[in-house]
This record gives sequence, structure tokens and C-alpha cells, in this order.
Amino acid sequence: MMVDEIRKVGVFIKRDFRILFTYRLAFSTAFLGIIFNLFYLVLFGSMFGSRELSALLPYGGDFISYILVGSIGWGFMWSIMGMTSSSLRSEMMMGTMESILLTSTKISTIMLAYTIFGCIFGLLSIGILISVGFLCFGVSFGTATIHTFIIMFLSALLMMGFGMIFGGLTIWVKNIGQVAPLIQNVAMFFCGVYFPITVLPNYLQPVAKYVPFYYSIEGLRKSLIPTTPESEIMRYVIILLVLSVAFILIGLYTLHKGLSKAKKDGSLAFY
Amino acid sequence: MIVADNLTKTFTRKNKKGKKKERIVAVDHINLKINKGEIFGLIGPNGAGKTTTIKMLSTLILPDEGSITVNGFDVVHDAEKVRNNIGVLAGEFTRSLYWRLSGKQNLKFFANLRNMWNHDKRIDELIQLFGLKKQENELIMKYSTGMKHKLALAVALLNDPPILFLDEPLTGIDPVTSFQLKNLIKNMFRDKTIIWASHNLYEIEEMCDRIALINDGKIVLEGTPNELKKKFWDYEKIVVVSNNANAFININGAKIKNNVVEIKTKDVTNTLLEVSDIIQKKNIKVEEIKTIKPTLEEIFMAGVKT
Repeated sequence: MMVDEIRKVGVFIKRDFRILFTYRLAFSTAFLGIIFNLFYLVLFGSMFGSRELSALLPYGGDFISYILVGSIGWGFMWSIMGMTSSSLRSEMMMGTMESILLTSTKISTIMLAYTIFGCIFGLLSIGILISVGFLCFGVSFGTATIHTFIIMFLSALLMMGFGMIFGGLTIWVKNIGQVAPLIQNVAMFFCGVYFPITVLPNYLQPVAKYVPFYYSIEGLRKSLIPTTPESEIMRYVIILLVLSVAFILIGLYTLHKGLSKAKKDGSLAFY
Repeated sequence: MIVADNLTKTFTRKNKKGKKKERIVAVDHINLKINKGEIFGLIGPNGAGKTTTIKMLSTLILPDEGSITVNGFDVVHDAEKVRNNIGVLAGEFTRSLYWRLSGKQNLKFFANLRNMWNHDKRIDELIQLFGLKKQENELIMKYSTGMKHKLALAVALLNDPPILFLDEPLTGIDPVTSFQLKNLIKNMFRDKTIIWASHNLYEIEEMCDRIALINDGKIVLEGTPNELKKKFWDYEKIVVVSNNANAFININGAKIKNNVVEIKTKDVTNTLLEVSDIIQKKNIKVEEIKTIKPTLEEIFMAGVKT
């Protein structure tokens, strides 16, 4: 039973890649967009020259490295979230959600498949960003440790949970897709993706502590700085572990609630 | 066997102004008993409750009241077992497929989701059965509606389920495909229990062993096509077309309009003898004589009005 569900995850991912490759232009332009965005930010940063920025001193002081790490972490996390919620939305819009649910496939299997597909997509983006960062700007990620990967993994789980919450709400209240970019932009503001939160006004800085994604980005940065004490990195690991478990549980609950509501009001095939 | 007992479903929808919510009773205390191997027709106008009933039977919508068992399994508590016993061809069948996958890829995908890991033989069988061999590797966005229809039915039949729910199965397809599918269902799937929902009375009459007319969520009539005809229309009509129509005025139940005589009768044989007697005695030239049996359409219209 469990083995069957795991095999089904592979079936979904294979299907998604097949469909993705039929949109060759969209597929390649998505990656081109990532590269152009990176160039845009790095060139923007080049205005500051090679001088160290005081706000970035805790992170090594180099703006290009700062931007690159932020882009990698944020891009990876939101590709998971985006893939999870948009896949669910498009299954409902196309009407294939009902066909899938007629096959006794568990909703958690479906969500896991979307998440893993998002992870793969995110990892491809990371690969591109790292390659461009290294080849064009000489930025190396040689300082990455096992903690970096643990933080990435936990961030993936966190985003899976967030994706499930969003997915559940999508099934539940439908027209919620438009809210995602707003959440993304607001969260980005408080997560230190393109600037450290210390540059925010004093009264706004504490808000970051309540934004779960902050711990992913900040943890990722700290794990890449060789001088960061292990105890500090472990603090981020533990916080992310707790947050990801909580988000997954809330996500599963929201999904099941959304699904039973859609089954009650007959709206599974509508968005 | 499928048994639905006191099945009820109510939806809450916003009214036309989009403000006030109103309750709509889609299915209203329906009772159904469909025997093994039977093709059971659900007829009714648009919005009568056919699709909601099928969705409840196939575990996609939860009933508010009542119970349903499909092959002995409860649709709410044993939903997974129910799903393993059914194949569903949804009303909007083209929406049930991935247009950017080929026909074969669609079949493989849904076979895997049904835990059919060794599916090659079954998929080849279905592709042959529905005549899709040439197009099996083409993206289905290039398929004609008829081909998509066949593929959707093939998906429903992947696990060779004993029960099939077909919602408007012949809507939007050409007469040739329609003929092929009807023959296939009549000849190849005679061992299956089928619920056939449609508002096409002719296909229901042709295909179904028993019929229920559903209107405003309620079952108004139920029985075999012949039973319904007898029950609802216990007379037939004899129509005589003649320039001398007034000669038949004395026959009981006759109505004359221009040169057409319409006679309502419960005893067709004797009335026909009476008509032929008049023709012979008065040497009347008759252009046409025909008897008209009640059609399901008339029963449907009468049922919808009641």
C-alpha cells in the first residue's frame, strides 16, 4: 500500500515532466527569466563598487554573494510553493482532479508529488544560478556544509506544508491564486532576501521573527559563513524542523477540510 | 448491485444578484435499486439531478442524507472499495484527460494510479477495442471529439470494473462513433451494471433495461420502457389520411382535422377492423393509415409536467 503510493509519486513527476516538455518555450524562458533577474540585481549591486557594505558585514559584506544566496534560497522555496498550489489549481480548472480522485490516490500522495516536482524544478534553478554566479561573477559555494543541505531540506518541507495550506485553501475558497504573489512579496520584504532586515525601520524588524521563511533564508546564509558557531546554525535547524512539522500538519488538515468541503458542495472540478 | 436509499443532496448557491445565498435541493429523497448486469437509464431535463446522483454514487460528492451501497460497499465509509468497483465517464469527459499527453500516456498514467503496474496488455487491449492504435502516441489535443470520447471510456474501463457510470455518454459525438460505442456497450459490456444518464430519450430507450425519470431532484417515474409506456399511456393512436375523413366521424375517440383522422383507442385491433370496414363499405380512397405507439418522449414530457 505504502509502496504503491510512493510509486505513484514517481508517476506524477513523470507526467509533469512530460507535460512540461511540451511547453518547451515556456520552460526555457522560465530559466532565462531567473538568469536575467540575477543579472539585473548584480548589476544594480555593482553601483556600490567593491566596497564592503556595513549592513552586510555579518554576511561577509559582499553584495553579489548576498544577492545570489538570497535568490537561490527564495527561488528554491517558492518554486515548491508555486508548483504545489498551481498544480492543484490547474487540476481543478482542467477537471482532471476528479479523475485522479476516482482512482483512490491519496491527496497526500498528490501533494507530495507536486512538492517533489517543485523541488526538482527549484534545484534546476539553483544549478543555473550557481553556474551563472560562478562563471560570470566568480562566486563560489565551497563553504556549503551538511547544515546547508539540512536547512534546504527543512525549507523544502516548510514550503510543502505552506503549499498544502495554500492548496487546501484553493480547494476550499477557490479564487485564492491571486493572493500568492502578494504573500510572496510581503514575505520577501521581511525575510532578508535582497537586503538584511537590519536596514528595515526599527519598528518593522521584529516582524521578521514571525515570518517562517526568514529562518530559512537567514539559516541558509549563516550555514554558508564558515565562522558561524554550530550552536547558532542548530538553532535555525531546530526552528525550521518545528515549523516544517507544524506547517505540514496544518497543511494536511487544511487539505482534508478543503477536500471534504468541496465534496459536500460539489465543487471539486471548479476553480 | 447498486442501492440508494433516501438519497438527498442540497447545495447552497448565491442568488442571481450574487448576494443572498439560497438552498437548492439537487436530489430529493431518491430510492434506487439497480440489479447486477442491468443497464439503468436516468433521464431528466438539464438540472434535474442526474449528474449529482452519479457523482454521489461515484464518491465525488457526499450525500447530505441517505445511504448508497455499490456492490455492497458504502460510498462514504468504504469509498476506496467503491472506487475499485466502478468506472466513470464524466459528463464533461474531455476535461478528464490530459490534453498534452498522448492517448497511451493518459492510459498509462491512470492505470498506474489504479495500482495496475503491469498494464501493458490491458492498455493494448483497450487501444485495439476502441480503434485508437494509429493515434496512440499522438497528443490528445490533436484528437477529434469522438476519439477523446473513446479514450475517456477506455480510461473508465482500465480496471475492467463491474459497474459503469456513464453521464451523457453520447453527447457531442458523430453518429458513426455513437453507433460504434452503442454496439460496443451492447455486445462487449453486457455483463456490467451500467447507469446511463442522458436527456436523449431515444438512446435511453434503445440501450436501457429500466429507466427512471428524474425531475427537480425527484424520481417521477420508474420502470422498463414498455412498462412506462403501458402505465402512462394505455392507448394508442390510429391516424388515417383521406379526402373523405368525415366518413370516420362515428368511430369512438375519433378527431378530424382537415383530411386527417386521429383515433385514440385502447383496442387497436378492433378499431382497425372498424376503420377497414368503413373503407370497404364506403369505398373510400385512403392515402395513409398508421398506428402510433406512445414514445418515451411523450412520457418524459408528461412526467416532467406532473
